[in-house]
Amino acid sequence: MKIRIIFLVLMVLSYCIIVSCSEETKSQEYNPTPYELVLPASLPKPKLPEDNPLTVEGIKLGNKLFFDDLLSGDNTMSCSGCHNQKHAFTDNELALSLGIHKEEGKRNSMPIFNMFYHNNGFFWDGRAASLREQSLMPIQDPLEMDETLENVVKKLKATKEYPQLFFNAFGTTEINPLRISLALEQYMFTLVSGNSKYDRYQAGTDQFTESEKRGFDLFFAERDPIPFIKGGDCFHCHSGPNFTNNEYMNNGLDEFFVDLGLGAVTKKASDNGKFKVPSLRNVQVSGPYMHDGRFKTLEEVLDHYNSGVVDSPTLDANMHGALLGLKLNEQEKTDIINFLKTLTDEEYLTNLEYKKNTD
Amino acid sequence: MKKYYLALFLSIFIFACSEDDDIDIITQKVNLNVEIKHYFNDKMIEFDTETYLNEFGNELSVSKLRYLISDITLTKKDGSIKEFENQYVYIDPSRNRDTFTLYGVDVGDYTNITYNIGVDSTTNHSDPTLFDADHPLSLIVHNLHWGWIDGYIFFSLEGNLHYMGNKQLFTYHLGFDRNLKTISIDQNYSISENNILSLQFDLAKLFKSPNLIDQSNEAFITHSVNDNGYSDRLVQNLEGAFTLKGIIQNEN
Repeated sequence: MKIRIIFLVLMVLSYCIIVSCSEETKSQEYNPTPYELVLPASLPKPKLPEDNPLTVEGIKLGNKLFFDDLLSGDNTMSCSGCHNQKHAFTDNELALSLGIHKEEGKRNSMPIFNMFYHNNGFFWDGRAASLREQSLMPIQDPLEMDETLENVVKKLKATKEYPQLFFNAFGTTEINPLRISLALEQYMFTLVSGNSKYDRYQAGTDQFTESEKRGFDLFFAERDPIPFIKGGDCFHCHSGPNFTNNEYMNNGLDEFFVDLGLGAVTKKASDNGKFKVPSLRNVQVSGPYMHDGRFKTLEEVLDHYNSGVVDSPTLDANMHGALLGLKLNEQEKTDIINFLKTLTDEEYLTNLEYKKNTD
Repeated sequence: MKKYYLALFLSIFIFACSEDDDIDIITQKVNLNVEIKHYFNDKMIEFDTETYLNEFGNELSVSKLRYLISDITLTKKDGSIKEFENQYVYIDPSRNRDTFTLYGVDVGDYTNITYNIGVDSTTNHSDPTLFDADHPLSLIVHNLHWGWIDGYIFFSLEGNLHYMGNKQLFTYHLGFDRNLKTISIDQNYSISENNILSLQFDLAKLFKSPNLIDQSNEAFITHSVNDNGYSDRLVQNLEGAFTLKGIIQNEN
């Protein structure tokens, strides 16, 4: 009897100690490590959202979520299913991606890098204002991962590891869609591409071939009508250090629009047929091209701009030259493509930090 | 006890005095908000959807109107000037980017506001990647740039000419050091707290004076070279296109 009582007292005591200990350790544990985003000199300092500071723990959680099949309706598909690092986080050379029901999505999978520069919405049609909003949409899209956020939260809560990972990242084991999106946003912000041959050429540490140099000049040259001067006129839209002006433009693909693009979001006829101007970094590995993936190769893309542009009510004024025909010869098209290939960044495409975290 | 009341009374008096002195000696500084409203004659510009008739009679619609402002200077009634040397502004009314703030402006009476459309030669040929991604001269913010040698596009107007059911795209990209345009507006105005200095840009005037412009008879694309002086004529017209509407009280 005595022993029993002592045992009981010991039990209660140890329980108290454990509880107090664990509570103490918990309050000590939430101490996220700030993550410093290191960018090469060729990339300007970005402005990250102040309400979602990058932390090692937040990024780790985002990474795990990005590669986790639990985010899809039948637990077979993660974000990485259509966003593969070796293709600049686009789909594996598919024009349109297949969702969990093996049905084609509406548009071509977009690359993920330097997302902190996108100051004008996300997706081909700009329907997400922020990266965090963007991150939750493919999960819920019936043609993509087809899952409800409610279910995702439920499934993550039921796991052994996620509540702790959310605690490490956000100081609470409470899982909700906002925190899922914040973690995904953090992980995506760490995907940086700024060490291509072009960047090294700009820094003076690498050389261009003669063809790349000619392509560079054509890329940045205005096509002039009188006197006729050849130019690719590429740089008006694919401008700046990220090779995009972040705008939605009609680049003369169709006379009549099958997909209204931005117009379907804003409900303005003047936005019909406009799509996000994509960055050209890593364009060599992110094909097929255009919002519907209609062009398989860069050669087809160049042919479009050289002689395939068609007029429509919302054609961008900067397509004026292309509408008349750029009149580039085969060598000049090859030169531009060779220049575009200098935008491939092997370091980004193979960076181990971006891969699925396995520890 | 009476003494204490007296002391209290005196101290209040002293405090009151010293506050008065502050106003007299140190001029109060405020942050002045500036807005630029973009019109075609008396109508606010509706991008892409609306057509307008210019003075010559061309019918046009506007898809983009963008420009850079620098070297803003305010002249006070006493002749002293306040320069905002390192402030650059990117204006894009199609994306509601049409306001900016001048920090530390003296309260008082003024007689002039002057600013440049474009940037000075040194800035024009500097490396744009050195600016932070949210700086008005960063090429993450806009695409008004031709590369290091030619520099920034100071003023960009893009749209369509419409005639007999047809349309003709036009892009006017004005730049190069020679086209840096100083806008100087002589007008009296007073700045106090919570003010907005309201400027107006009238696109109709860009085609009107001193050079009357027939858009259909000019280059449809100009990037300020080989255009028979078209870009220079447009730049000359820029000055009269800006007016100071006045000071309005910020209701926020």
